Amino acid sequence: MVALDRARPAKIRVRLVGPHVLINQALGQLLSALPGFELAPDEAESSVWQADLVLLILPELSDLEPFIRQHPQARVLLLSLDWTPAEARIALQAGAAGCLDFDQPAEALGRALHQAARGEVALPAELARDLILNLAAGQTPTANPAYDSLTPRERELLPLICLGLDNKQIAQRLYLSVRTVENHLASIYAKLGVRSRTEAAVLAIQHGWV
Amino acid sequence: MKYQKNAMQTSSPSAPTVKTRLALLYTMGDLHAEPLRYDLNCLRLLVADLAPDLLCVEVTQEAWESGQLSASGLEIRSALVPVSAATDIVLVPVAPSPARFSDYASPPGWRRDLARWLDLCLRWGQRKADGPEAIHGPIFQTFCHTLCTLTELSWKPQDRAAWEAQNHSLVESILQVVRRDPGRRVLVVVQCQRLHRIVPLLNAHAEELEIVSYQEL
Repeated sequence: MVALDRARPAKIRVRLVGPHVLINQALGQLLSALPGFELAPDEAESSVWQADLVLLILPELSDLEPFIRQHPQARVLLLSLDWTPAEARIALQAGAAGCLDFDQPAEALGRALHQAARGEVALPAELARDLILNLAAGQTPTANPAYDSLTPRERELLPLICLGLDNKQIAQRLYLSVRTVENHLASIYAKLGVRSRTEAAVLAIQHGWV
Repeated sequence: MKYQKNAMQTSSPSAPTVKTRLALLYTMGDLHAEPLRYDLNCLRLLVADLAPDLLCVEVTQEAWESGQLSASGLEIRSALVPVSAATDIVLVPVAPSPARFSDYASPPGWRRDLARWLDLCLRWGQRKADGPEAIHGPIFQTFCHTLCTLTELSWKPQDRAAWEAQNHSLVESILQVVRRDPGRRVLVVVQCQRLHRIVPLLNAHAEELEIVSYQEL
């Protein structure tokens, strides 16, 4: 084997917060096995501040807002089961960086955490689609000059964003590198005046661009 | 939805402003499954460590998009696809057809005997090289080039022409990848028997891409 001395990106520190010790331990082991992540120690309250992401399991969604108020700088991802679009909307409005489902493979969890660490909103594809369709229901398509400023490749990306595909899936679909997709998305966000793929998707559906 | 799957549609063929860094990684076909230092696990680790932006492999677009990889090489199914699935590396199918070097048979008689003997020699050389550095080194490349050229000469003319045409199309597909996403780090993984065919073809496009060794990608 060849020894390659390439600078490795720093690991993403994840703090687990949940009421069940067994689930926390299992998730901790799972995250430790995923490449690119490390667990923030859970003894000290300060580790919430030191972590890049907080993976939060809450029995009640109403507990989210107080938690975020207590830790306003934390990027919080909620882990739960059977999300409804309404619940996801509440969680995002409260400031969550994403909603993850227990009913997903470990790789999907890893991808979602990477997405959240990059500052994107992480949602399971189906939930994102339902949420967008829900939000867009009843809206009349209108024109928007911002769309004209998009390049053909950027326009090609919009339907894929609306399908709820993550960056890797879009890159694989278009045979582009993930970094190129990230660049295109940043450009789309800037041109459309949005901050996330969810907002871009909502705008695209609202205006009938997809 | 207006979405249409036209993923392989290329952008303008005009010369990219940023040069793509491209490295070639040679594989040894079924020998990768044997207890060698350059085995499937080594290949997996090597590709994961190189972490290219785009990974061009010998699979047809149809096979890749339909998930029918049974006809593809063992190293693709068992090493490259899993690495791509577990990382941000985007796999790009570039094979114009599923045919591999071993699919071209020499006509019966002395030419088939010669081809069989040359194949045994090549396998011996691959076992002796037994490592990515050696397989990519000048001694093995000269050895492989000589044996493969002799083997190709033992084929029927139409098979030789088909092999040459396939390599031309393969290079054309690689160039499309470079033009679609210029400036990226591209790793092309092909069976070592192709090296003497595709390297000169790729070298002819020095204005678009810079061929580097896989260690320098």
